[in-house]
Amino acid sequence: MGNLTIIDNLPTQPVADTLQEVDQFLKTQPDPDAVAQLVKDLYSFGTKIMNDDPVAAEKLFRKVTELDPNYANGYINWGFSLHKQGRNDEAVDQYKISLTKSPEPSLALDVLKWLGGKDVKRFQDVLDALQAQPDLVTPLDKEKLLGDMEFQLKHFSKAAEAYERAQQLAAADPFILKALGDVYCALLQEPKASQYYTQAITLATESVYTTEQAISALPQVASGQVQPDRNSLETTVTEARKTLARLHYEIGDTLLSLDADLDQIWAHWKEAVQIAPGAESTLSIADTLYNNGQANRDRLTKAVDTYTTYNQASPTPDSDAYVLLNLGLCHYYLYNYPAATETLTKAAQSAGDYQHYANYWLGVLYSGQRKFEEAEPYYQRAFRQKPDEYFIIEGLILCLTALGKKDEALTICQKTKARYSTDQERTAEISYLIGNIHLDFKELDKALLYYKEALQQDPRHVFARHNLAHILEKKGEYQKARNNWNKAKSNYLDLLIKSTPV
Amino acid sequence: MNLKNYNLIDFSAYLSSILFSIDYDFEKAESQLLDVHEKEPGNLLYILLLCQLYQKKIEYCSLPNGDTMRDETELANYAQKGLDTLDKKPRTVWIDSDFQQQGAFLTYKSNLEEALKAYQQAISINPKATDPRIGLGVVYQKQKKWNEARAAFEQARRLDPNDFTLRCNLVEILIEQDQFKEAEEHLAFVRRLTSERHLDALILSGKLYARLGDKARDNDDTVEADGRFDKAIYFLDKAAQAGNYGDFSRKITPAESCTVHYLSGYCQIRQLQAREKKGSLIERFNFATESQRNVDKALFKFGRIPEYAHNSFEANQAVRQLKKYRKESSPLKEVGAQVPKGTVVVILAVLVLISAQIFFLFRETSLVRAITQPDVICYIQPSKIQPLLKLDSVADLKLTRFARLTFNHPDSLIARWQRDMGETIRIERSWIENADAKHTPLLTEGFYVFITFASLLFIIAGLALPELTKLKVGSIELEKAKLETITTITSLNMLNGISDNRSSGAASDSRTSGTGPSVI
Repeated sequence: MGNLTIIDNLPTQPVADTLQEVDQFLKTQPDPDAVAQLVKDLYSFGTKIMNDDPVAAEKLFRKVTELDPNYANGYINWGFSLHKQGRNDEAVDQYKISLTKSPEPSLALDVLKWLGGKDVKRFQDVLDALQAQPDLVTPLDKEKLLGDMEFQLKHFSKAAEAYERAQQLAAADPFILKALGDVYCALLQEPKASQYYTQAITLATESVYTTEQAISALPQVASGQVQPDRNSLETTVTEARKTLARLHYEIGDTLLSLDADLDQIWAHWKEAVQIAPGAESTLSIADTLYNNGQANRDRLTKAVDTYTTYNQASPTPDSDAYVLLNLGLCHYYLYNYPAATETLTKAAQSAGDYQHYANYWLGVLYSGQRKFEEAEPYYQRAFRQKPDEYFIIEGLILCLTALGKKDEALTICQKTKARYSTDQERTAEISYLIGNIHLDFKELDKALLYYKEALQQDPRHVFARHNLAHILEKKGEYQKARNNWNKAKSNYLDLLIKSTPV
Repeated sequence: MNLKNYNLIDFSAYLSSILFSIDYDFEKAESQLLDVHEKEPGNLLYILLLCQLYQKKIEYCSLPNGDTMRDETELANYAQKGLDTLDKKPRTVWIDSDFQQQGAFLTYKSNLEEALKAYQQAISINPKATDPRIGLGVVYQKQKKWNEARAAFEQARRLDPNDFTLRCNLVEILIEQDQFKEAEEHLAFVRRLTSERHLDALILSGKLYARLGDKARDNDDTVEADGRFDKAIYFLDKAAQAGNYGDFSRKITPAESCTVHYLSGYCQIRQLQAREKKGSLIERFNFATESQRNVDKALFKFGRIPEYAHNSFEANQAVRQLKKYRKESSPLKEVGAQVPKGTVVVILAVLVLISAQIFFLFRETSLVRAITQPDVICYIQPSKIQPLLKLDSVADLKLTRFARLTFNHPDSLIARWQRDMGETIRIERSWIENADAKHTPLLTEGFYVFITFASLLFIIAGLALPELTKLKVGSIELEKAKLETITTITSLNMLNGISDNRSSGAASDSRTSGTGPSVI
């Protein structure tokens, strides 16, 4: 089969070559089975690379859907590749097409949840899809989704109806009761909301209690002896505890979104943390507290406690770099620099997705204390790990500039710039940073030159425009400065409009 | 521009900084900044920008009643918020920028002693930082500690020689310390590099040359004073043009505008007064018209100062004095009446002097005598002529006609007799009545001396007349306009502006942000 040649080299050769070979292969008029195999191979290849190279993956999924226009998964991953590139509108189109190609119910549920999620907010599209294809997902999922979407669209009575139908389908699901509580909370009927929340918690607590009772009812066995029922029940109780904790977390989260008092929220979250300290809900609580608490000492302190609890409850403490990183950042924002240094250093030790962040933040931590000598190695490490991350390059440049290492900073910029020779937007960013180096060393004319260069490469680079105007003003060329201020103003407005979600 | 690399709320903040410091659109800037402050109440950059906004709003307030109460309250509130936010950070981990911001907030709250300490701390941590030195200089300046302020600004200038506004801060101190030469060197530098478009430099140049003009005038160096006031007027008039913003470094504030108008009017009058003392009679004569123009210009300048301005009382006083002066002795009147009056006196006196000299020199000639000596009526005594009348024939009544004639001198009579009668009848001197009467000359020697001295006196008086009747502007005592301390807010640059929070939560976001569903 001709496609074998292609598949053998798939992970190593460039996508363009692969597609060229696919075209040549197709000219040979292969049999349908061969084409089906090719579709599977291409899909598999695209799936492998879509996180790291969504642009190339997009081309592969485009080809997949050309070859098999009814392959729902192809559209879904095409949509994902587009989403990874920040092209959400186009992604939505592909996801919507995928729903018409009879996807697996679980996949359809994922797609619908994404469409109706916090980022995309296509609530009406989800409702339309469910109305047009009622069998797209299971009846229970359908009612829950209908309730969620109507709730988001503030059609509370319709949401309540949908949740009640869902409750009839799954009477023991505490999350449906919690959702009903949310509806009445939004309708400001607090007693009724509270009633539903209590019902949900009682239901989940009963589940935990019942299972615990069942465990205690089991006969005692000698240590080291395997007792399958006990193990199974212990797993069940752990899951029940996690559900109860999740419930408390979600109730607290709803109260947070309604700007409720932190004590009221914390009452639920504290319960959640105590019930299942190592559960995902604990991490979610810590993340929510951290993300909402950078200017709030109380929230940050609670985030520290929660992350610490989660870390300690882990079977292998100090191994989750993400947790350590965020814990370190909480310490940093609480100005507890020794603890931040210790935690971030631990986070930087474990290789993975967060190592460069940990090194970068160690750099920030030392820079923030004007300890640039100590900061530099961390920035350098972060730069070696992720040489294309703008904030790392910027941090390193600022550190080197503060240390007076102008030539070193310029060399890094020039090398980075050479790597981006074809990407105007990225080249402009580096030109802007070079301008900043010269500005820091009071070399106004050179700085001016590089800001102009940045603007030639990317006329919408508003910070380059801003600093250009600043330098012109410093040089006493007020009319020119004012012209550039006006352009910067327009740029800011454009960018703010562009960044505002529809 | 990859928006993922930046904190988008900063965009709104920077946009608002342009709105209030470049466009002077305070309302839009305020709403934008309040919005971003609400989103990130703990962000010190936003609080600082709000303080700068209210400070600038106060400076540029053009309300007739000068009501800045609300903005002053807001300024104090946000300065306090800034201090409260800073206080959340333990002092043990404060760095130079924290102390510098504390200094700025304390200065906004007019807590100068504490601000001073904060800036000193910032400098002790980072001696290479320019901003705390400028802050320190401003605080010392507000406390009128000129030497300390000068030292702070000098050090800041050495660190950033390109900063024109900083040089102007230094110049303000140098002027206060009467270090005019050094001040002018800095101002000339700024004026040259900014093509005379740096507003602070123009105002300060005006102030400097006004001071120099006064100094020259006090030393009676009228020519120098004239030139210096002329320069002051030139710079001040140029500064006044910044009311239209144009291509100047910034827009002039209403208070500065009033100061500039007053100072310009002040210099017009001082220049006039300086010029009035110099030159000859003719020069002053020609100058009278120009002087009037000076007064008109000064009146125009003072007239532009509105009722509510800080120097309106002084301006009104000056206008009243100038109008009174114009009414009583306008330069035109001086030119039309007083200056020629002096000339006429001189000319007349010269004529009298010359006449006196001529008459004295030729006092013995008949002509002069006829003029200078009183007439003596001479005629033939009737007793002598009666017997002779019979000699007249019917056709010729010579003797009868002669008997009726009178002469003012016996010689004249004799001459006429001899011409008319010939040798036929000889006349004797004894026949003539009053022939020996004594003449009392009018032009005696004493009188001549008197006339000569009197004429000389009048000549001197005539020459001195315009000086005596010189413009009364000299007596107008104008209050020196106080120039407010120039406070300007320099625009932000990104190096200073980007906050530490730019990538905050990046790690957290990387996991919690929504990603699309994927089939792996």
